[in-house]
Amino acid sequence: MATNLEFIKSASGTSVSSLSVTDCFSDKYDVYLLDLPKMDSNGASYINLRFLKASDGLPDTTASYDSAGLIMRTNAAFGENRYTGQTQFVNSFGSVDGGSYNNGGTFIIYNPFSSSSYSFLSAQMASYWAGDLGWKSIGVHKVAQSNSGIQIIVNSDYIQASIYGVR
Amino acid sequence: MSDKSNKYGYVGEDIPEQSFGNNKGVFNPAEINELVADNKWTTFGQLELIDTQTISSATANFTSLSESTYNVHLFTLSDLVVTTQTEFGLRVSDDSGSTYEITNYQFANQRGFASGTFDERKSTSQASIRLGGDVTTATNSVFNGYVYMYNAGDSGKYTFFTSHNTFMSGTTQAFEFGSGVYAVASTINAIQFGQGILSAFSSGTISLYGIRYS
Repeated sequence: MATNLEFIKSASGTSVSSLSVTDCFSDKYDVYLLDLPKMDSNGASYINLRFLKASDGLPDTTASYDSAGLIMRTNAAFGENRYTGQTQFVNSFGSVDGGSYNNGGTFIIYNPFSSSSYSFLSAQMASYWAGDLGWKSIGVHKVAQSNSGIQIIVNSDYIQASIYGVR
Repeated sequence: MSDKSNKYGYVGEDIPEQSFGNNKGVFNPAEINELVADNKWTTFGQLELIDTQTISSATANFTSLSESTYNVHLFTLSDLVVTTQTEFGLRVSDDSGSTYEITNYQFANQRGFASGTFDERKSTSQASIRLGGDVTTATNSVFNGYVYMYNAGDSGKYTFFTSHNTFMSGTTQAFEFGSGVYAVASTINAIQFGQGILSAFSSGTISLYGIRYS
């Protein structure tokens, strides 16, 4: 039973197109919590992600990412985005506007370091883009490989991430 | 490496810098206390309880958020009971709870019933952020769930919320999850939970946690 939330590391970036949280996954934990408490975009865009391979620390750009997100809007009917076989978790985990609103959200990441199982994500975001206020999302990386980190891909004036192990 | 004073078991040598996850040396109690105070002592357990309120016929007002310490807060909502069929929600305050804001909220939620429909609940004008409803007063009809809050302590940015809750509506289980925002750039230093928009509820327990290093 999970009884503790253990801080692993934080990362931040200013005027970046992506933020990599490196060497944060290990055999110490199976489940991780990734907080994105501050994310100021410099343009309207989606929040996309990739895993970093444990073998070389580089992003896995193979077409092995499936994802789906429910877009909860304040000003229109809710929408759905869903993708299979993409080279990143694409357009499913939040959308941000160019204003400095400090969008926030939390991801739960399952088994990213296991070399014998797929890696899964679930997430909930609160972001600010033309009425697209909330996202409830899932994703799977359909490669049984060990991943050591994660890359958050969004054009940002500022972005901050913290990752925790759930023990 | 830093100064040459005797510290952390080092004598006459450069003293290692200490930080979370990187404590080196042999520590006496006073040094541990000092490092804890400086937030440099490695102790796991980054979900830190700030306050728990057990409610009886009142709103739940959290007026000490430690918003300068935590970027992310977590509220857990346990067995909340309403006085009439209605929703649960929250409001924010920028004056430590003297007054709670009644404008500039937005939310967008997805609701579903175990034996009924799924529907959208959203607003750009309601005087609170909705968390879920319709909760009823039937026996065992309670409201449970959690709320994350982001950036309450940032005076230059909006404060965002996500939540996921489950409750009984009569004899039917329901869920509601979604996001909300207080769309004003200000420091939020108190949060109020209540039924309807927004008043005292009958009973229940709400706990507030800060997520350290967020």
